[in-house]
Amino acid sequence: MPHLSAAYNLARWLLRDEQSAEDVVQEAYLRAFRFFNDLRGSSARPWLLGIVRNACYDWMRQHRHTDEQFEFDEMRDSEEAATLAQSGSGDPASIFERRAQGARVNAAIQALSPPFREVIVLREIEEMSYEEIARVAGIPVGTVMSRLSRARASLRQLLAGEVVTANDSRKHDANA
Amino acid sequence: MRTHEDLQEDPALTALIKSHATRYAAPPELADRIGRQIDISSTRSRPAHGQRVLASRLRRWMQAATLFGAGAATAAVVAISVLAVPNQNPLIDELAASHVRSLMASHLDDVASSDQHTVRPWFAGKLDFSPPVYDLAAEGFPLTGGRLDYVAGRPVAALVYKPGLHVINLFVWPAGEGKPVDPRVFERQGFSLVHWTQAGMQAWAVSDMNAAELKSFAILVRERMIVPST
Repeated sequence: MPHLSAAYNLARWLLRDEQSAEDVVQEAYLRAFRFFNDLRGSSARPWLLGIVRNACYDWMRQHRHTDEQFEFDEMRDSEEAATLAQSGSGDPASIFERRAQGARVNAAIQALSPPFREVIVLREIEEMSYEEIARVAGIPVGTVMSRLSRARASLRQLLAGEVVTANDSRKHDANA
Repeated sequence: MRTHEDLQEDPALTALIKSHATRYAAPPELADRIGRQIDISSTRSRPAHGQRVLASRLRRWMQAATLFGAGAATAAVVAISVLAVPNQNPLIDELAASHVRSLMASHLDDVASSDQHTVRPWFAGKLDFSPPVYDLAAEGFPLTGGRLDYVAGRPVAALVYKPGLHVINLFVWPAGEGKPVDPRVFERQGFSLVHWTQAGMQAWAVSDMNAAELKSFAILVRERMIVPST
């Protein structure tokens, strides 16, 4: 199934729920395949992800999940960290530290509102170009750049202390 | 653009995200399930996208639609009536496919402007009619531009509106003789379509918005067509 990993990852990040992500991706793919027999190839990817993305926003609108996205979920994130602490084996200290850092990075990305979260997921995890992201999100390239810049500024703030290098040199860029 | 891209990057943050953020893996049965469903629907029916439409067939259908629409107009229907349109309606397939193509080819706007006084003159000399162009930003439907498209065997105006995260393609071309037809809602391939005729023009709005929202857009445009405000 072409581009399914990228599609599922995007939906899972936007919807924050496995079952909903599966349902929405399935629905979006069926919709896309009604028009085209062949969705392989890199040129189909932004278009297909755009359909998945729009389906996610429809789902969020229907389920009124849009107004609580800005908040950093203290409860969930500390629970996650606690669970991770118990599941480790080997050198407990370093495994915990590594997993806890992973949980903090995930939680910081989750704390972004969907328009900022999606540009981070598409850029940093899926490694898409600005032009491709613009096509997925249906926004101009300039908007992709400004959203990325704001999203990164928020992440740097949320993850202060985790990003150990190149922090200071970035500051004026974030304000630019 | 490349240099901006380089300037904007934050390698330290990228490295942190890459090494720690989860890339959620799709469950293996998801691909199977989608594959099975596609097989089922493809053996049942295949849409006629890209298929050339016979002009006579289209004309017959347009006559039928006009009659049908005029009849329904007298019924003063308030509720949204979604018609289960049989698959042999080639114009609706064509409009839905054109809408998808416009999104896919990043070829949405040939003239990109939210100013109706820029968009409307752009069509002069490109079409043998002057399409009605209204910015509805105040009502939540900002005009973002327009382009030429080819529908129903003729060049038509395609106006692009972007309400929030959605895209509306509004296809407009002359209607010929006949009474105005009230907006009617259709659904095809997961898209909503609304058709009406007014002031000698026929209009098809196509979008991924839900049918009720798209109909309210159609009603706004139609009001402007009745009483041109600017």
